Amino acid sequence: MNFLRVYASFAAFSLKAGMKDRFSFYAGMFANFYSYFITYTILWAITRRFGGIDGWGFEDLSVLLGLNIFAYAIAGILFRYTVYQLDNEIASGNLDNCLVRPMGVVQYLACRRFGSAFLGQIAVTVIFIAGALGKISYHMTAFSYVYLAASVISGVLIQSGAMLIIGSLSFWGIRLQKIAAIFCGEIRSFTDYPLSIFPDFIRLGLTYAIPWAVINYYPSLIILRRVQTNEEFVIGILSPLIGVFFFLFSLSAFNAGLERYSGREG
Amino acid sequence: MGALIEAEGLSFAYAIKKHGAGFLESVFSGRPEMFSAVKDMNFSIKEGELVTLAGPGGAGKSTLIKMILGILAPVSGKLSVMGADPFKKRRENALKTGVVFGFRSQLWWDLPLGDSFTLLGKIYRVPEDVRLRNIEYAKEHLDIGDLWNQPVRQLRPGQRMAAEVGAAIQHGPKLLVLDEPLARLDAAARRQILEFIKRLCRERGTAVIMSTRDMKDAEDAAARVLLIDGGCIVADSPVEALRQRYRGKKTIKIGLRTPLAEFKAEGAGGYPASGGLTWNFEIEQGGTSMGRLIDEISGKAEITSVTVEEERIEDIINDIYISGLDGAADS
Repeated sequence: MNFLRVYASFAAFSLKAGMKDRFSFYAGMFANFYSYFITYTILWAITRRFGGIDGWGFEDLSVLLGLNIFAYAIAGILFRYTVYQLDNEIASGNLDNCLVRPMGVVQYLACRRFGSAFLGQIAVTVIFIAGALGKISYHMTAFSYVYLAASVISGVLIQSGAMLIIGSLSFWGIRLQKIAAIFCGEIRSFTDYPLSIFPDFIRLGLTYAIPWAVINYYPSLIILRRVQTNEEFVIGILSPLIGVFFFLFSLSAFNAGLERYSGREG
Repeated sequence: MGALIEAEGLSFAYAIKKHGAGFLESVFSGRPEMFSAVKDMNFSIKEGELVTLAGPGGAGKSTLIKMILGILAPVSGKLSVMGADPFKKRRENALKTGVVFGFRSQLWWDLPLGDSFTLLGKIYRVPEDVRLRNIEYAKEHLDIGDLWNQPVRQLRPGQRMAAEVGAAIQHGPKLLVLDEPLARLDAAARRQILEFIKRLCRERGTAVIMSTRDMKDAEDAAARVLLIDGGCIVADSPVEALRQRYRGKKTIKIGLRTPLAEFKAEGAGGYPASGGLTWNFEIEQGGTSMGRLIDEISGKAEITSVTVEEERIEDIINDIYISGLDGAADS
């Protein structure tokens, strides 16, 4: 609970300080807003021209894309500039600063740098998801909204967990920023579209090898009532739990790396 | 007062991967070698004591500090800080420890100084009345009141260090650890920080450990000095005993426009170099003054340059290795 108190204050102070340095603060947010606004616009144009993608209309795709972007944005605000770039923290000695505080290292890293630029992504996603849900409200029940909130949290946990795992590799002297960009960027972008349009091995890889599809594809199937198989239903319903377990796994990897850093392991 | 920190046979080694000379060797070898950074240290520090860890770069001071803070776990030996294993009880001990790293800031770079203090107050769960009292104490004795609304990134080095120290004592720690806090400061800022540290020990009974490479800092700061070199404690003594060794010797190099073959100065042994174009003098505390020396030599030849060198800590340590601490009193 203390972490939430600290983080709330940190976020408030960061936003206040950011608004005083207006240009860079708003420029970063605008750049992110604009970039994803264009993405939505392209989706709209494609669905308008071709009548949808594999039966998914613009509103359905907005929910699918929105869950992905929104979860990444929240994780980015928390960890993009610290945990994800842990090699910089280690090389500069800043990790020692985290280890002298009476709180968890990951918690403290979240409170060191606020990724304000990601607020732009959140804003554009909220606009399009809200618009989409308003248009497809016949799909939504009370359970849908509760499940939507749980899916968002799960997505944040998976995205954050991925950043933790990539950052943790630095404890073993492995700098994988370029490869991480591929896994966290290019490969994840498959899930911006319904996975049914790709060969099945892609869906399987993004479900069982790297769980990007659990962030948005399976939850979208549940919310939009597009489930067709038992597998899709089970993974969809369990996605909040999968997110929790993935995050716990990533924390274990991080703590194992921390033990190594402290000289407890070779 | 009981022992706050006790170390017995304390050792730490880093694993360093060394690559082979050839291409294949460098690709396929890389077996780690162990480098002993701290070797078999034994010491104790009492509550309210002020101790300086002095030694050259790479001596093991920072490694020792990291073990005290629980950042690193010893490979052998025992270490107890506030009655607990500092590595296992890192977060609990952190609530009672203040830390300042001289070469990196712990404050929030883009936020006003006051906001950094507020955040730290929440992190350490400091009762508000205690926090405000400690802030007033820091403002009064470190002159940081006027800086409260300035972003940390805009503070000068001396101001930033004062702010770091103030932030480190906000939660009223029993132990304050400072790793080379004076390294990049001017004389006035160093004096301010040292005076505050001494006041903290005297008025609040806070134990303070400060590391430095500068023997002058050790002399100015502490009642007790742990001299460290090569991972070992070379000397653990009151500063007075080390003052016997560190006599404030200075080496003065005077460059001349025309060579001088012979010169004798009272109270300063000198010898020529570069065919008499440079003269080197060693002046001890209480010996001839530098001004008088320059006056005398300028009467013989025109001076082009004057360079002053303090006695290096490495030379002091070397002296101790050769003749021991007691040897200083005899020489």
